[in-house]
Amino acid sequence: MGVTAGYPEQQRSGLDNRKLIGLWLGLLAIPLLAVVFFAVFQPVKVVPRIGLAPGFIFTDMHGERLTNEDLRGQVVIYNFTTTGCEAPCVDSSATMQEVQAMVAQLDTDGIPVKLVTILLDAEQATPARIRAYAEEVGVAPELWRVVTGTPERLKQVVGGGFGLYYTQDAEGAFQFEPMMALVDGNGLLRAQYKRGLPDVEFVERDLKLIFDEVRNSSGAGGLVYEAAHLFACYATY
Amino acid sequence: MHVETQPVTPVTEERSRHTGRLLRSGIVLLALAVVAGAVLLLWQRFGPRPGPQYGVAINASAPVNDFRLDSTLGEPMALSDFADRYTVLYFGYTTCPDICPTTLAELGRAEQLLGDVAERVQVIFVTVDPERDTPTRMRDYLAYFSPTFVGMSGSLEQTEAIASQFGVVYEKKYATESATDYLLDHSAAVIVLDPQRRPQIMFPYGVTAAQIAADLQNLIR
Repeated sequence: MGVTAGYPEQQRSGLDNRKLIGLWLGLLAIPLLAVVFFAVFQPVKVVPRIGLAPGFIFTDMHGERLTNEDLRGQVVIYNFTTTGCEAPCVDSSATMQEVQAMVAQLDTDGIPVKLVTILLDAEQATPARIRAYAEEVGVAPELWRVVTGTPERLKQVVGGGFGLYYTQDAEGAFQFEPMMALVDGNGLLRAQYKRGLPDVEFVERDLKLIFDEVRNSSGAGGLVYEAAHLFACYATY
Repeated sequence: MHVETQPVTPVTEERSRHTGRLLRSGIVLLALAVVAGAVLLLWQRFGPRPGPQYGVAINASAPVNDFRLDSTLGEPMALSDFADRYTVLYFGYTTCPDICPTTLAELGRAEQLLGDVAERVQVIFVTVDPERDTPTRMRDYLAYFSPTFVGMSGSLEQTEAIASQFGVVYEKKYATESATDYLLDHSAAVIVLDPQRRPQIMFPYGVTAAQIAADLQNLIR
């Protein structure tokens, strides 16, 4: 009789505990679900911050120096090639021409965008030859700079900094996989287009994402963008 | 031996049930508090946090290449020798007239503002003028700003390669025809690495000690 008399209260106590556990687990699940939601659905897309882009001092087609510091505050799209890039060398100049046309039409929200071609064949790339190359590929001087440096500095910046490894064979021809890179206005490497030449749409998408981030990442938006960067391990190309 | 047992009355039975309920609820609450604490700790350790307020967020996922250079500690030191703390890297030179002393003074004050947290921070000064900046000269120079600052110097080639990986460039500007009479134009950024050598924050020139300290407090977990 005593057992049956206490049963409803025990049941109530059990229910209370279960409700409490449910409530707590629900509360704990919120941040975990938020993490999963961010990771899976990526409601705010960002271009990852890969790291610091390398520092360099190079010379352009007019014999003027260009450094990475000169480009601070500007988003820069880099490509790497030679003045005599012929098959089997895959030349990225045509893609850069398309990028140049795209950038000229793009609403950059006041953020300057520049293109820089780094020529790997330092010994052949005299100012005259660089100018001829620039003319051939249709470089708009206000938008696009073509530069080169000493072989040692190029190796250090392009190989060590941008991660494009290249060699030169006995005939002097350069062997490298085509690659382009995107560096933001803070000098951070944001994208490396390594799998062949990128479609211009990929570059345009990444540029727009960077513009969105600059526009929206102040105040509380900053925390959302930082959260998005935590999960920005997906490839952009 | 006679043991006197208390008769089980409805009151004692109720009290015992009540105690049992309280105990069970206590255990459940404790378990949930432990789980909540663990989640909070994980969130604090790995969860998102606002980016630096005054510096530029880098949050690089990859570490920079390690390097070992002559140092003001009397023996060559590697970046990885400071793996138990955050490193604040600055590239400059001892005869720098303006930017370097200003920046180092701000870093020295930031270190004071950090209090105990400063034990987890190491300021490293890498000279971009290794031809003139000997470890002894750097030690004397850095002592003006903080006794804990460490100076490093390498060969010209080493220095250029190391600086480049941090986006730092520098160039000699000769004042006269003398080979030793020159200044160096150099990048003025301060770069903060986490203990895993991943760049986290970049402070542009002009950021104050209080601002540097605030961002470091926020970064150091």
